[in-house]
Amino acid sequence: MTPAPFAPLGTLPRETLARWLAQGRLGLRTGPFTFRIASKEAIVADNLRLLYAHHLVIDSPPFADFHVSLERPASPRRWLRPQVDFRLDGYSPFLSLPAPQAFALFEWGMNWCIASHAHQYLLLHAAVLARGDDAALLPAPPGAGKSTLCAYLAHRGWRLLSDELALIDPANGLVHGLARPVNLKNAAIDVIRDTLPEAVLNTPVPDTKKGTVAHLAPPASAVAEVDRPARLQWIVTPRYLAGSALHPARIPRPEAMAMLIDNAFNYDVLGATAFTALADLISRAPAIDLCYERFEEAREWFGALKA
Amino acid sequence: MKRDERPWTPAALAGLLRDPQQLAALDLPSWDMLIRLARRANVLGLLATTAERLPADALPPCCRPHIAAGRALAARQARAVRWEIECLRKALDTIGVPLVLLKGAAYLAADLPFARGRFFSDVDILVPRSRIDEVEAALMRHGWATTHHDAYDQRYYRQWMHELPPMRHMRRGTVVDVHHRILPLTARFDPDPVTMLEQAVPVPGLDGVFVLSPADMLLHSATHLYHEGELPHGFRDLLDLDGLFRHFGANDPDFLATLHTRADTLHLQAPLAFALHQCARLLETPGVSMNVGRTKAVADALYDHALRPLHPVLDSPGSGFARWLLYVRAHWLRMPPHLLAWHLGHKLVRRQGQESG
Amino acid sequence: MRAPPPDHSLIEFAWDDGGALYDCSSGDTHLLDPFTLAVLHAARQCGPTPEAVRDLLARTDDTAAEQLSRIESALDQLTAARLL
Repeated sequence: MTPAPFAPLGTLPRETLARWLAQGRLGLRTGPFTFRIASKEAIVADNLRLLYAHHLVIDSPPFADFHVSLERPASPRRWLRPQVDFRLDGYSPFLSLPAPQAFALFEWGMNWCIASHAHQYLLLHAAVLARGDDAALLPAPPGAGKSTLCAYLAHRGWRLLSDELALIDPANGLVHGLARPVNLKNAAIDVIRDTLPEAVLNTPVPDTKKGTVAHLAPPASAVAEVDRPARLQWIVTPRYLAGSALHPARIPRPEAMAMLIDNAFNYDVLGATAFTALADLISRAPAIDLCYERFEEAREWFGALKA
Repeated sequence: MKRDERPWTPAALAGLLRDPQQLAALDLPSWDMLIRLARRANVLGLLATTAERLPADALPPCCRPHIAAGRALAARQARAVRWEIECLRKALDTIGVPLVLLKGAAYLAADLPFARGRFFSDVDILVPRSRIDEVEAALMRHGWATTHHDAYDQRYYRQWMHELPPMRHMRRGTVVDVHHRILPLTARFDPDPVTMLEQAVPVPGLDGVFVLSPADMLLHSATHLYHEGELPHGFRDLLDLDGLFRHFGANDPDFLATLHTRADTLHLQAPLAFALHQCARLLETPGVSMNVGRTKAVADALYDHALRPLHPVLDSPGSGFARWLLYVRAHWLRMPPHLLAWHLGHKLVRRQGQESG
Repeated sequence: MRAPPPDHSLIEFAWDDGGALYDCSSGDTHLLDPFTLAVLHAARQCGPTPEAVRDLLARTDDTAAEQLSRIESALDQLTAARLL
């Protein structure tokens, strides 16, 4: 399906990757999207090598969905405290950030590109994990431990489709994956390092607007199967609660519907199409609020889910 | 892979947005650039509407999702504006004021073919100046509230502008601009809105909804582009004029003559000459010609920057400066000079205040 | 996927734990608890008068007889939301 010139990013020599990035030639494939990236920031090149090693890349693709750049704005501050801008076709949706945050900004920028343009999908702010062709949707407010559990399950038998964005095709209800790095914040970073010694994490960046952030590489197997969409069978809102026994509770459908609408980026854009897609999903997939403390218990509970 | 070498002139881009057959002939690198330009110029909906006229397999597979996204945005716009028109009509009906739509909402209500898929943010309406307080009160009873609570802004709008401060619907978040004149009260010329209201025409199929007559619709659009300072949508607004010339010109062979007569009556000869000139020069609009005598080469050079899509690949040194000069020029046209200094000064102070705050 | 019916501006999903309705004209989404949903369905059959709705509901729900004020407030909400 992928044309021949695509190759895994990890097979590119370091200097080639740096040159393609500096010259704005790198085409990076993530799920259904091709990003064409321009940046001279070494931190971007290094993190791409570490976290996107299995993703396919191409030199100067004839077509890219998004042309993005990370560059230093022309300002006197560049000599004192270097800043960096994320841009899509010259337009910057965010304020400049300190240069050490360039890769985190790149990740947030990619999310923004998809969330504000890809209206061919119903876009939800949620993690998606699959077992074979059956998927679980994990919408959750920030701080609830969604990414942590997602990172854990992605290394314990579940296939990572996405940590932040669920792409639902309204024509058939299938969910498409991105297999991009998982964004971990603050205490979750050490928790994952301790729990998953085999996980690949980049160097945490302190003092971002979300605190200390780190990114975890998606497992190679998830990247290899990124073009395999799945059918959503379960909606689970995980909530980490210290001292709590594992406690699943069914969420009434109207309440679950309200939560999904709140988590949708483009519900109003798609209108009746979005309503029907979500109501169809709610009709067939049970929505469950899951309080957990221990990963192992949560893993067993997920493992027992029946399609 | 070879880079896209197409010259992305306003006329070339306009042709692609209008003509599906030109789209069918595009190669992949040209599609790549076209979608980027269309997004930045806020005309992805127009592109999607034109592309939809082709069989699906005439588009490269990687472009189809972007066309679908553009269609979704255009459909949302049409749906939301139709509902807004209905709500406004009901509100104005309570005080017996007909709903006269301007600009984007008018093109959508009248279903003008060139504007299908056109994006815009606010609904503009024109009401008699003598009824303006009643209109404001009726809208407030139906859920709209004023957006500018700053005393300076209220005074600025009420003393000097041609419209009320924008009103936002408290539940839907939609914004309506209520105009009672064509140009600000301080503008050097003062086109008469009364005959524009009198000559407004009903929209077939939408009871109680009116749009300006064809000539007035075009003159209104020309007047605003001519007087507008910030031109983030300069290219889209120029496309409107081109579309209006083409559409009404095709339906009525005497359209241009009617237009000139009407412009004389309303003292809008200058904006009309400007519209004819820029459409002929930049979009090669058929049937209209450049008017070298009236428009200066310097102004043309400035508008070359302002009326094309905002995109780094099209920008050249001077683009930002040219846009700024046009901003100052437009304020000079709209206001006596001492007001201009005060208004620019006030904006500047507030902007700095916001940055430090 | 179900396309919205062209002649009817409401799309409705009814479940045993509530319902969801989408108004295609206004773009509004309405989420109803099971009681309000039952009132809506009853009012469509017998008209939006509280007593008629109560009598209709009482055929399947033993508690409906004592719920007139709750029915009234549900009818008010449904009317305000243009669902009736």
